[in-house]
Amino acid sequence: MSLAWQFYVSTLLIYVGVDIMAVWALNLQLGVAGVLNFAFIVFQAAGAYTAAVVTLGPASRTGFQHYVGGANWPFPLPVLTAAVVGAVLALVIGLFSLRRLRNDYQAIVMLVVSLIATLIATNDVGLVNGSNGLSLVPKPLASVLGVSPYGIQYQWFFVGVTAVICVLAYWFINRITSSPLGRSLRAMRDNERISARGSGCSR
Amino acid sequence: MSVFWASLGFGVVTASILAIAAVGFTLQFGATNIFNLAYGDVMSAAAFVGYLVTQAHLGLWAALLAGGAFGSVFSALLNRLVYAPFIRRGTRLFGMIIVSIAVSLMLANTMQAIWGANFYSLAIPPARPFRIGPFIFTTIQLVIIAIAIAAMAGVHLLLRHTRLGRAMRATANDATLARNCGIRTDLVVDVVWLLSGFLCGIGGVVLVANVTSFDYGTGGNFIILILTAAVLGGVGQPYGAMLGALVIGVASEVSAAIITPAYKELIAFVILVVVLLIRPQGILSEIAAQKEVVAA
Repeated sequence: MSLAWQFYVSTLLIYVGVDIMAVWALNLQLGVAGVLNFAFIVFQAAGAYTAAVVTLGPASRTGFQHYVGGANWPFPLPVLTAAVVGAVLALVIGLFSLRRLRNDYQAIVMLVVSLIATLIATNDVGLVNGSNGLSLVPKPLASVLGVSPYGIQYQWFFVGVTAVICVLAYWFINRITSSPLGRSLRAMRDNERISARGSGCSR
Repeated sequence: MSVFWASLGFGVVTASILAIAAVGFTLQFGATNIFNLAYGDVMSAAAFVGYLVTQAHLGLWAALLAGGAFGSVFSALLNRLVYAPFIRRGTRLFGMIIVSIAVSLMLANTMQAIWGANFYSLAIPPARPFRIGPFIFTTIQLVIIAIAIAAMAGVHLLLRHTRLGRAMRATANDATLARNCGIRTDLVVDVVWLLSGFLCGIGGVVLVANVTSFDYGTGGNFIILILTAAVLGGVGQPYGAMLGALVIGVASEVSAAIITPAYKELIAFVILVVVLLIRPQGILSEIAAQKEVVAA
């Protein structure tokens, strides 16, 4: 394969991995638990922004991009922090929007929540650089490996990293769906009022 | 203080546009249980029809009629050709939301293909400002407010004082029971799509008559505010939609003047979320409660 094709295919494979993980998560919500979540992308965005901010280094007033906080954390930490931030945000939004509303109103509230998040992220430039977004985010492990972060070796290495995280995510989701928690989620989806509460599952 | 009054005036204009659109949207949902997210794009299409009419120097009133007629026929056909076949095959609420999003994308992209990503404005005479008490309105804004009042009164008279209106309310309440009582619900649903489509088309034309320029996405962006107004009032409730439109329109414009224009939609959304947390069925909610839209 020529170099250009290698770049194309490897980039595509990375996006495939990213989308597979996102779709698994969405399936856990809509397919297993029956929650139609139009705000899903908010949690993915929160994770991405978090990972970017904790690797970009401390924010400076004079820099060309503005953001809150900032640190130089080494590789596994940003990914893990991103996951935790996404989960906490989902918990907070879920707690207030899923509590008393039926499905179609939940869907609308979720849609509105994602729009609120977009409005805040684009209008509050100091938070995560507004609609310009964050750029020049350091690539994980590039300095440790000693290869150029823009070369083809690094691209294939990153395909590998994505695949490993995909496998871990699959294992994790499989554990959830086959556990008693997964069973009660399915019961909740099929009939929230009768089966789930009847068998003593709390929401 | 004059900023406050001026923004209140703008709010009333926004509320008028929103009321025309939201009442149509909520009538559709009430009678058919379809969250028609393509509604805003039909508004854009009607606006382009209105644009063509004004280009032919026929004036705003002809543009309104043409836009309304287009919205009416297009919505009825949309239901017959796209939504009804899905419903017959048992697509449920979630599936129908996705179908309507798909229709919305197809319409928006078709309009982009035809009209390009350019901005257009209706060829109507420039608006002259009027001073009424503390408010400042342009002639077109006064026309918009008058149309909204006429449309609301018309919907009220239709729903409360005609046999057709009674049949529509009965169908919205319980379609099966209405059918068993001898109401031709298929016909009623078709009439609802024609009527709500008419409001949709008029809403599209007044929406673009109020702004200086519009493109293929103007209506699609407006659907979120329509949804907010309709859900705020209790979806399926025409009077709720009018109330929701008034609250959302005035609150967003006044907050734009007092706080910051960047967050004027945010204020509308926050109002919706807070109201739904307190009253999960919306402000007015007979139908919502009867249809068990609210979890116990």
